Amino acid sequence: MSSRTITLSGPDVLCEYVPVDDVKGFFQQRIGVGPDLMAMLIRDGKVAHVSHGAHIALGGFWRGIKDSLAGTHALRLLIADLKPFSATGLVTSITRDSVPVEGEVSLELQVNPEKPEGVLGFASDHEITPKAVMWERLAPHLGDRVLQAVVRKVDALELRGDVDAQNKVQAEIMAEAERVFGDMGLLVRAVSVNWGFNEEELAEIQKRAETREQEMLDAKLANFSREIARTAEITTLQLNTELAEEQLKAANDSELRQMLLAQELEFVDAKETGARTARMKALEGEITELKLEQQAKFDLALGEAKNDLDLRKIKMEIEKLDRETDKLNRQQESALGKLEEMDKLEIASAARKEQMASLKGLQDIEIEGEAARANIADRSADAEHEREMGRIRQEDDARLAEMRLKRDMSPDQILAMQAGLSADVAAVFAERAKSDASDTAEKMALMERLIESGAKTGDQAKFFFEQFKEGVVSAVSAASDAGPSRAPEKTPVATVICPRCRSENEADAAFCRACGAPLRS
Amino acid sequence: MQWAGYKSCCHRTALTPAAAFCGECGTPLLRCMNFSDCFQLVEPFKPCPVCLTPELVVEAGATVGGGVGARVAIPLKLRNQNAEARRPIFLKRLQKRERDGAATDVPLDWEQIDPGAERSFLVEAGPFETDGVARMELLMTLATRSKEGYEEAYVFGGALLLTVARESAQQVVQNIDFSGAHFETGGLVKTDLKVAESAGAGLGAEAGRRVVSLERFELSEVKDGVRGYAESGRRVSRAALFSFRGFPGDDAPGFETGLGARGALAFGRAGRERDPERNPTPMDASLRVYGADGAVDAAASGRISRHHFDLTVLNDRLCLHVRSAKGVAVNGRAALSGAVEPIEDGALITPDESVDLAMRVRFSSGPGGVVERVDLVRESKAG
Repeated sequence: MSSRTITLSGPDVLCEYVPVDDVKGFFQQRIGVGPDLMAMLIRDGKVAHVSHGAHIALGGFWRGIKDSLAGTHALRLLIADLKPFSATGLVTSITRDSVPVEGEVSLELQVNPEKPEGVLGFASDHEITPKAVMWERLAPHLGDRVLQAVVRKVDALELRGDVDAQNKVQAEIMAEAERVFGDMGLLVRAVSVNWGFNEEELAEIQKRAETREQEMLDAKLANFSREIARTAEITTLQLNTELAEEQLKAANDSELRQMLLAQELEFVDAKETGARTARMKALEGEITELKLEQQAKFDLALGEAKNDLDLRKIKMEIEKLDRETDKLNRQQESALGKLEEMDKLEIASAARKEQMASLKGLQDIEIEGEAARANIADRSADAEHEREMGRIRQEDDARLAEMRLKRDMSPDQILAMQAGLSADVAAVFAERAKSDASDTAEKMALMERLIESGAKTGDQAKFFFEQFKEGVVSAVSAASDAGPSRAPEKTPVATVICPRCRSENEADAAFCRACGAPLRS
Repeated sequence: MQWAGYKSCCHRTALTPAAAFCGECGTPLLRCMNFSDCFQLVEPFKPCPVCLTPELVVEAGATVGGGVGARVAIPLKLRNQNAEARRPIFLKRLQKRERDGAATDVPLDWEQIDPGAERSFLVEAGPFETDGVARMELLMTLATRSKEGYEEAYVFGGALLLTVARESAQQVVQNIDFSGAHFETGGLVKTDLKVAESAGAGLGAEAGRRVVSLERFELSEVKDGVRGYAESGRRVSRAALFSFRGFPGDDAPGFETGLGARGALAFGRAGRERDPERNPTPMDASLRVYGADGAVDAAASGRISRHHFDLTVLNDRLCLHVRSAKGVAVNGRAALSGAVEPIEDGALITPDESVDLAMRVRFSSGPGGVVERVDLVRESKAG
């Protein structure tokens, strides 16, 4: 026994008649119907069998014999879709503000499995009944009584948002559909209405669209304006930067950072902003701190510079005063030195006269010692020669003096002349000459001894004589009242001979003025 | 030798023309080369406190500052303060130094400043690179001259502080707005440029004459060859002692001596003993040629002048002043009559090329390159 499965010829088909004439063969055929389909076998104008999801056996040898004996039966097989299906259609109405509105009504329908024979009510004899037929059957019933009664009470712009009106429309349509399709074995599972955009809404939409477009244009304009402003600002900065190359070289860290940031602005637009925002905020804080720090440093430096300038001014004033004071001091010192020197020169003679008396003994010793050391150290050979020459000269002088004394001079005069070697001796000899004027032989012997003694210390005697001859002659003259009277010459100055350079120095000098050698131990 | 300075006794003694040392304290008396005018003693390395007293002033109303990038010309005056000394000073060289750079010369068309007078000049400064206080140093080589023609030069320096304001008294203030309100433009950072008046506008004008403090730049003196010996860094002290070696008999002192009351040592054929009639100007060292028998070679000695040359210390250098009309050879190079030639260590002084007599100069340096002792060694011309 062969078997075949029967189904609807298309998805839009609600039900259709399946021809069964070709099953009249020798063998019986089994026709299978899916569980979502209903199969109704009509035999001889009566519903013979209704099932869904069953097999139906048709034809075959036995059936042929039976049909030949009892006559042929009229068989029709009707299959229908048991699954829910949608039926949609458009409805129109007019709102309270006289705006035509249009909506799409969607019906969820299903063949009632409990009343399968109801299918015959809408099954077309032309074998195929599409699902769309359901809407055509219902549409005439959704007129003024169902839709218009509700929609007419609502304005066009409020229709879409009025839930009560929507529910009422839905309920009215559903009630009408059940009334129409109930007897046909169809179940109305759901009804919904989707309103199309009415004129008011379209106008509103258009208006809003235009508004948004205007807003968008405004936003674009604002952005463009900002872009132009920013470009102008950056250009100004760049021009300024190029013009102020010296300023750029001299800019401090803060200024350089600002300039770098400004030049980076062009790139910022195209980059991600999140991380950059954080970094820029950090930079902003850093720049603020740097700016404050720089400002503080600058203020401090400016204050110090001002202080330094003030201090320098004060210092310069002080230095100027010091220089003027020093200048006056030098002038006074110079003038004082000159005056002192003049005073010193003026009183030098008087002072030295006074010093002479006290220093005479000391000078004798020092002069003799210095002269002796000089003779010994520096001029030993020459001194020996000079002493020899001096001795010979003294002997000649002595002989000459002896002859002169013998020839011309009185004994007192002879004594006075020889007393040039010593004031004391002169005084003694003067007295002795006065008392022993007649003792010529003894006087001559004494003179010879003095001459001989003078010859031994010729230099000392000579120096002594040169230094004090004035005083001695005066003393001898005063003592003897017989010597030659001599007027005093210039003021005598005591000097010492430098043992190193042999230059003369004042007797009170501690150092040689010519070579700097110390004159006193 | 540690310099102890002068005492009042030294100044009194200095009035005695023949005194080379103070008779009371033994200090060498280093007279200013213009002593007859100023009556001043000088220290071994210092200028005369009376003859060289310059004063540098910025003229009243001078602009001593400007903006960044600006140049200013500063009017200055140099004054010879001391009118009593009756000696002019000479500005030999003027240099300026900015921003620790090299010193550059400022050309001048004059050099002499009479006593009590002042001379004007301009010094340009800038362009200034940064705002704040800029420093410009002026280096002046100032000199005094004696009646004999000697010249002592010193370098003095002074600093001018110039106030530099921001450019054109204006500054560009840039405000960067990082606030999130501006990120609707795609993370744009908004910047505003504003031009604001600087607080430093109007700075830089001197209200009155301002004296610039001058200091002596002794290191620059040596480095630039103004004083001392630039190559060796040595400086010869005015108080240096001279020792004579190789001179026969009494031709030279047998002890160390200074430059003496004249400030110079005289060398020549004349003797060392003063004779008012026969030898009124005795030499410090006699240059005579002796024969093999020890007697004076009169013919050879005659080719040396009685006063042939002087040795003195000028500008911290030992110098030879040629007194003879015949000239002197220093290291074989002729120095004409009247010339003042610096003598370096090891120099050979030959009074006459035809005479076998020469004198070698040796320096003995102490700390800091200070030459305190000079050995004068007589040797034959051939060495």
